[in-house]
Amino acid sequence: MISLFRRKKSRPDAVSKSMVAKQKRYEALVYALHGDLFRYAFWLCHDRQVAEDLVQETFLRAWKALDSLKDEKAAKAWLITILRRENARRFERKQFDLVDMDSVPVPDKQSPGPEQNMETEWLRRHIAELAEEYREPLLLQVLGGFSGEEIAEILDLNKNTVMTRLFRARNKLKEAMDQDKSSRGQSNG
Amino acid sequence: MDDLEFRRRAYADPNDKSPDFISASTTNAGNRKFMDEIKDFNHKLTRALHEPVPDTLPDKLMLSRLLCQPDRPEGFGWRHLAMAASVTFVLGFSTRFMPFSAGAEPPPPAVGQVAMQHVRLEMPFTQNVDEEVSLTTINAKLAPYGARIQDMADVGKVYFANHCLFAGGPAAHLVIQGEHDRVHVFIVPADRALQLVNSFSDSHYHGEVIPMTLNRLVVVSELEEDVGKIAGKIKASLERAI
Repeated sequence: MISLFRRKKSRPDAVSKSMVAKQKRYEALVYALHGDLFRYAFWLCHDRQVAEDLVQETFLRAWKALDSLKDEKAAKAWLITILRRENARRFERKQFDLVDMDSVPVPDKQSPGPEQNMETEWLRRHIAELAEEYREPLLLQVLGGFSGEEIAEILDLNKNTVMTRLFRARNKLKEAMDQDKSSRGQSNG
Repeated sequence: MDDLEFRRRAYADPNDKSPDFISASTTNAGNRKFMDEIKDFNHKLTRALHEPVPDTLPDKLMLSRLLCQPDRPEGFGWRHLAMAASVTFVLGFSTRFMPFSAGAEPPPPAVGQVAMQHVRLEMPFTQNVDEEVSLTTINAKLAPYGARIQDMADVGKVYFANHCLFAGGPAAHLVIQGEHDRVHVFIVPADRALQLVNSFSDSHYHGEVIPMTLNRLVVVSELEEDVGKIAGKIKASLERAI
């Protein structure tokens, strides 16, 4: 009888212990990766509030499916895959609420500031205007630090396609930037 | 590695660590300069992509906050649908046994209104139909109502004989020839819920209701017809048959 009680008592302990461990694991993921996920989300949707919502949805799903994540090293790719799916669902839910490029937050371009800031803002606007097929591999490489193979896996493309898109993404931005500089030089001179 | 390939790979991944790329990037001054440029550009790119993260975000992602948000889209629809279904079910089930007061129940329809409306609606059909109905057919149609006609001569020409819907239940409907125009005869089971009168009329039709043993005989005609006479004739024929 006593042993029966003991067993009963010990079982919830074990359950809550594994629960605490799972919770700790989850919180570690939040602290380590919320920034990367937020930035990625922002560049997908161009809206800080929507990006926050997306990250919340993503982590909620991640919590529910946490047991399916076997290797902590794969966590970032796993979370980004969830995030991309959530973003796609967002478009299914509100098909007509497409992001207007004018609403991409760009600070007042007239305000005087260091050349560096101007350049950064100029780049941000052009990154936002890149087609998604070029922007996403670039985000994964620059923000996520993923290799060509990893990006190919996340986006479900072959590696050559990914490398071509990365080349084109940088090429478009660099070309636009060089053109902009030369035209500015001309109008100033 | 040729120049074009080198530049392609530099654009695709400035941090390419493969030995052939690294050696190509240092072979000549041109490539070195190009590499410096592209790395500088990549640095700018990284800076541009660096969106500041809200300080409050990690807090919002803690489970205590995440799991108790009121309107998570997932499960939202189901929970409300389930709730609505439960409420509907309970309401439906409980009111099934609730005795309604007499006043709440709608009164049964008036026999005259039902009959005249029926005639009016079917007029486009009944004014032209002629199925040359025989006595056998008429009596077959009347049999479920426990009625029969003795002789065709009692009723005259019968254009149409069939079952119809009368105040929510079956009745026999005969279309016969009157003195001027066609006359409609309904044989309605006596237990049909109806507000009864002996006779009724409106601007176009009039009619009589004659109670019989099992049925009510309802006869409707246009105003110039002597509906009472026809009703009496049919009643006599039906009675004689019994």
